[in-house]
Amino acid sequence: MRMFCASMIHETNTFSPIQTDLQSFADVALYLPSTGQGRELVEQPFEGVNIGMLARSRGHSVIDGVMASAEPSAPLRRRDYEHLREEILDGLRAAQPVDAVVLFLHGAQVAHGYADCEGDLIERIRTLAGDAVPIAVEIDPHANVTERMTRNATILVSSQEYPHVDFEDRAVHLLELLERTVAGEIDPRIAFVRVPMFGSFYTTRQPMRDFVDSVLARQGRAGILSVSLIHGFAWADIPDAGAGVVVVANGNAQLAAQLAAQVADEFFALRRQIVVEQVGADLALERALAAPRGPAVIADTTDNPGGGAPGDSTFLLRGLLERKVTNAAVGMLWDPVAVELASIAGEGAQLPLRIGGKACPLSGQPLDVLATVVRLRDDAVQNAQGRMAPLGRAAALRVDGVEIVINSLRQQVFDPACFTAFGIEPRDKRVVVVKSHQHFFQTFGPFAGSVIYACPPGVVQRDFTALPYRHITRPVWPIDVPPFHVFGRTWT
Amino acid sequence: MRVYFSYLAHESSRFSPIPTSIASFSTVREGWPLQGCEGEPMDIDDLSDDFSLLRLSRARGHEVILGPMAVAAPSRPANRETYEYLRGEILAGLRHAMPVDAVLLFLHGAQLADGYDDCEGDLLAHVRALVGPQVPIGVELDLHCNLSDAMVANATALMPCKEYPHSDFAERAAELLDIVEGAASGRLAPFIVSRRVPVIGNFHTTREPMRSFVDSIKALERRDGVLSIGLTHGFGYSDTAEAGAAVLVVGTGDRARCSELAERLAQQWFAMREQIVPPSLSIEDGLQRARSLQGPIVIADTSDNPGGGAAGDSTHLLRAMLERGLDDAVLGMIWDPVAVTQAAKAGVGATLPLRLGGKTDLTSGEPLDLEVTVLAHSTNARQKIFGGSLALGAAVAVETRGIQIVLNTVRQQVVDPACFTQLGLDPWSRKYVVVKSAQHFYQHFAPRARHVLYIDAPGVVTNDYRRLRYRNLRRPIWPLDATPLTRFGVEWR
Repeated sequence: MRMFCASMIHETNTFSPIQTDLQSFADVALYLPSTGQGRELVEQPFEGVNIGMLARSRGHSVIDGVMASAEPSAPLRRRDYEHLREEILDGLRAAQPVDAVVLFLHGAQVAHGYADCEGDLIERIRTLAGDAVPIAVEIDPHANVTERMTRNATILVSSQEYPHVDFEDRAVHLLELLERTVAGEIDPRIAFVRVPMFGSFYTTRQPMRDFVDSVLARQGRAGILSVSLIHGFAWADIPDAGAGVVVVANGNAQLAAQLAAQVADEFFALRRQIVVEQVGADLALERALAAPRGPAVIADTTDNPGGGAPGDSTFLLRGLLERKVTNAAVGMLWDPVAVELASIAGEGAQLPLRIGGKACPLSGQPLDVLATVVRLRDDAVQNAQGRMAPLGRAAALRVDGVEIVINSLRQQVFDPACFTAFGIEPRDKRVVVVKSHQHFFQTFGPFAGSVIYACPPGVVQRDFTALPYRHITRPVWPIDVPPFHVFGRTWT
Repeated sequence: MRVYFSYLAHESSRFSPIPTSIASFSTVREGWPLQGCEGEPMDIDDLSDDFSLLRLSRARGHEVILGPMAVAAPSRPANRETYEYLRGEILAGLRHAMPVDAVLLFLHGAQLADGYDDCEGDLLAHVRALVGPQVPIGVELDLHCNLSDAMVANATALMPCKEYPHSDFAERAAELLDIVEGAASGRLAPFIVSRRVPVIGNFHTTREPMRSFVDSIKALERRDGVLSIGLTHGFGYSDTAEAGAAVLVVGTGDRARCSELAERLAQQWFAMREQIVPPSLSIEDGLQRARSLQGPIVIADTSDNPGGGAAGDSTHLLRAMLERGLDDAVLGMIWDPVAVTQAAKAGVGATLPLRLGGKTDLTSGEPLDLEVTVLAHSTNARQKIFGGSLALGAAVAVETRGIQIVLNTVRQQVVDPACFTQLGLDPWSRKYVVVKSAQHFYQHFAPRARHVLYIDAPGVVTNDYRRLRYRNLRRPIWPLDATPLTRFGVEWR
């Protein structure tokens, strides 16, 4: 079939100090068909999945629209969002008539003037495409799904894993459902139920692991086409922030709604068991140093650039240096100024450097250290969910017993290459601190002696009661304590 | 005549937090090619004062063979490879140009590298060895140079500028060329005598009694066998053993008379020391004073002058202004690539929280966490500096609590009000105009200011040399040591 595909990914943390414009996409991945800029992206792995490439491999005739991905950060400038949206709509107009529209979106994108970018975009596509053309959408589980999205999409599925290792599997699932829809075999009906809770739910741990498996097992049976647990993205101060359940049933909206409500109840009931204990910087370091075997991998979850943090906070690094820990590694601190100074000084040079603490108060105070420049590189890359992401100009420093990777393109640590590219072997370390919330787990988990999720003060802090919310829908757990009434029912 | 011209300028401070390598240098497009320089390439017109010697030589009909031309913003001593590479290329260019009738060089005079405490002396010794004793070597210098015996021994004539701000490179170039032409033709047989002065300090020639001292010296030149007199102010931030001021006389007549003259001027200079240092004020006193005056008041944040090796991102003075509620101010420029990017992305008109300044090291002070409104964003602003122009890099103007601040990405001092006006700010509409510069701002800012104040916040280019932790500087020297003192074989009072 003839389909129009577009991708637009920006997880928007409305509390982030990191500003966002069109250049923020160009810094990561941006294909604009109107100018041809970034055209090569069409044939390359895209972070998560290149859904156009996948559709082509299934024999479809694909017209590629915009492909855009930016590192999570503050809301996008209004004119830049509108520019991306209009470019997507222009692409569709030029491609028409099409048999289907396929979108890969984040689901938690906010721009100035737009609290629900995806809802706005899908609605405009629906208006342009008309009611007869199916619109299939894949999103990230850290999405804040809105009624506007589910009303205008024909099929909506999200990744079910955190780390999101299943973007491609879910894209295949989505395309299969779309193919059957266009063939007239099925008639998808979407139901969406919100779940009033905030949290980070790791599918690598029990009981979340079993819950995800049980939910996925319901697909393809008794008229149920697809089920998606939506984890929500709590760092967006918008009315629709929070978890939810999306169910797609064949020809029966009632059936979809019933199952969505049932799964929502199950999800909410698990809440206390599926959130991770909050461990402060001191306790995290104590546990790491007490671990029987290394490496103890500490996730600096609250400074995760993949959640909109700057990635330059100093709390854990300061703790390592104060405790005089040796054989430790920390990566990656986003610090373009220190990278520049280290690059000028050259490999082998020792120099006083101020590192970290450059972006905002939650970055902590900068650290003034005497650093040795161990390695300089401007060509290192890491595998970021399939995309080979350049680290930018980067340096490995040694400060006392700690090796520190600093870089100039802000991003979370997905891949041990963030260390090994500089000759640092994380497997041999006693303690490894990664600026990542959970995506590191896929590659670090297999060799880690232990994994500790730390939450020092940070932009992606998990103490939701401390965030200055103004627009979210209350009550919501854990800010409010059940039983409470919201979304037309009582939650206990 | 056939002359070889090369240009190398790096004022090196051992107190600077900014490291230096070949990448730190900018080259001039026309010159002998250099590899690895990452600064914005320049044309000769971009630094026209510094290149007066070159342009004048051409104007007088000399055949000029160009060697390397490279300049880096003041910072820490370069690594050894960097200096040895630059020296090697200057000598390679010279070998390629030979035979020549004369060598003309523009050098800073306070350049250091790892393993080299006197790059200019070393370079001149190599050049002399290559051209032999007969070929005149004329060197124009910045007055903030640390004159060395090797420089004196190997040059035919040394010509430091006389003014601070350095507004007289063109005049000095003409005088130097006169001497070199005379030496090359055999009409003159110049020699150099010098006398060290045991002081370190910043001596503004815009104020008395330094102004009259410079003028009185000019009146002694080109007569009685004295071709030229140079006052080298020294560069006290280099922390080399021999850092300090000196008097040098280029003469042709009676050598002993020239030596006596140098000795007399050195003693005269030393005697003036207390009166010629900048009238520096503490932050507290300076801001209190400024409050009581009518604007526009230009306030120099002297200790964070990038033109002396500072980072240009210290927050001491801005923090004090905010704490005291001083508004109606413009301040520039804070070197902060991270904040510039954030403000530029937010866009003109946006209000955002910004962590500002304090990025480089301890001497930068603590960063400031402010809520700012973005007033302007530019990627092509430039300022006029030393007769040419220099790109500011990506720059923004932001406002917080009545203070308009220019942030930029190419570290440099403020010399020209264009640093403000190119971003749409009118400094002369504000009461306080704060500039990160020690003195070069004076030329273009003082004429419009009602008052000029020098505030000495903590920083690596402090006017109070007693605050610096010297490791190498030979003592005794004023103001670190009490006077009278005995140095260079005589007593100084």
